[in-house]
Amino acid sequence: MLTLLRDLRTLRQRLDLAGPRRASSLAIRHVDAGSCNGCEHELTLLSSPYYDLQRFGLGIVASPRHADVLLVTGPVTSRMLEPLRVAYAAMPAPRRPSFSISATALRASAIEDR
Amino acid sequence: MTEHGSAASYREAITTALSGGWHFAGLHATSDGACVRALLADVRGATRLETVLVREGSAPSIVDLVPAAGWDEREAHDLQGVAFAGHVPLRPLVDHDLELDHWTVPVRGRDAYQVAVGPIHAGIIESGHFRFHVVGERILHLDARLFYKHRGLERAAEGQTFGDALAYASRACAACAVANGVAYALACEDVLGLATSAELARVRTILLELERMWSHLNDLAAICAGVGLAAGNNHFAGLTERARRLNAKLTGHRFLFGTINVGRSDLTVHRDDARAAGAEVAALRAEARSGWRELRFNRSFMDRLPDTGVLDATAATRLGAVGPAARAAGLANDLRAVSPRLAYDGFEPVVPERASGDVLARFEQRTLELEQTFAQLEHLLDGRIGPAAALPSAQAQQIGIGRVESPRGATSCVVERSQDDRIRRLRLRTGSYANWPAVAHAAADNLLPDFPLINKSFELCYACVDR
Repeated sequence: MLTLLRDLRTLRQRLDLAGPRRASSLAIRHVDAGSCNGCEHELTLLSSPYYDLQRFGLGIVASPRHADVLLVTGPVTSRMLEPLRVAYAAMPAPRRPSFSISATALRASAIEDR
Repeated sequence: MTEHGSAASYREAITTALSGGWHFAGLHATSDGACVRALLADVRGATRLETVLVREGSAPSIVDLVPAAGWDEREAHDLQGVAFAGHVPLRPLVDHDLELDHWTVPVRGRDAYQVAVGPIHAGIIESGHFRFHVVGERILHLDARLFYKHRGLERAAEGQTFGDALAYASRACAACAVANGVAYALACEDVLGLATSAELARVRTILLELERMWSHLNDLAAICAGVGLAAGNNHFAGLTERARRLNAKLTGHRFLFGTINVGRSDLTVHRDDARAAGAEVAALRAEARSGWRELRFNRSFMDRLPDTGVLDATAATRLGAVGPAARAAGLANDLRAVSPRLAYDGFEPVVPERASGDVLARFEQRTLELEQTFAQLEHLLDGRIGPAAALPSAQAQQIGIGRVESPRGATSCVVERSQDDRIRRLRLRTGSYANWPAVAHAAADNLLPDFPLINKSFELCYACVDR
């Protein structure tokens, strides 16, 4: 969890946001593209009193319209590809590449590489 | 297992079994679509399979006898191509290619309109689509369309060894990793003719209860979030975090991944660490109790819970609801009371005093079950945890069955063996799978803004339903 928190903070510091958004807080939109539900449970607890995500200038937002980045969990199933594209297209320009925290998304299958 | 050549004898067998005290526990088609197997269980935990041959692509439906088989038959149609004679209309479940009117119930009349929600939701929530039919703010009917996260895990497990395919069951869902893993391991041990030793039963029971502990604490936090009570949410989210840290300390993984094996357990915990874990469980119990005591005195919180999202005993039985959701409706069914292969000696299911099947009853049910879990863990964590193995004793089988009470209810796993001792078919039917139709039922007649609360009072997974 602390690694996850550190990575999100690093992302906020290094991300080259344009104009007034530079060096300000980072709005994250979560999209579950076929995860095992582990990432969702961990992300939920990042807002719990032990971590309190928002004090680091990181916020999970309710719409891609409000988002600086998309946070994708899971290996992107065929059914979630289109909704993910729609969410990406709904982000304000200039759009940033989305990023992923989940082993399943990064390695295609956590099951085969376990 | 009984194999039926004719539709009549299959349906007759199911009818006789149901009137003789057996209940439906799952249905699947073999991967070649050649036969359909219905899994039945009785109150003592015994199981049996009724198999019917598929003729010209069609099998007899039992959905008129057992409405709970509805999703299973729809899934077998979409994935194995089996038609079900008598299941009309046979709506798609896993198949997403058909137009809206094929998978929704037609709703007509003045002022009726639809609200489409998802698959992506406005929070940290798994992906799934809800189609609400409403008048004003009142929900007339809900069609849930899941399987956006379908990864084909059961199909991928076919042809794998029993050891390798474990990951497809346990990694299907982080919230049910142990329950699914144990159900799978028990099914495989059935196939391999292995009997569980006392120590193996103890280790698995500890892991199952650790999973239930964090899961139920999380559910209480979720109900507070559903009401919008930040204080209660933070209290129970904090306890959930502590429970997950305890998982990591004992097993090296916050979701207990990698702790279950077929035929053995490799987990070792030193006596002092086990006792320290027992002390942490006791501390969590004290804080959880103070948390729900405060909630009961919080008027604005308690006002939202009664009579919201009612699933009564009749509906729960008809729809085949399981777990805390069914017990909150007064059905005292709990597989832990009939699990000789696990260490639940003398376990008795609990139901709330006011088993009205609403959000309040499901809230109360979680608190009652947490008390049982805390007590069970403190009892079982009194001493070293060492490696354990299953013992060869029983006769090997072609088909194995494992059933486990997961935090969300009865989970059944069926494993069929191929000629070269690999997985021919794996079917995992989780508590969440059994309960989704109940969520849709409970939502009807409520206000749309109450749906998040109703949904969170069930707190079902999508990941192990979609597989």
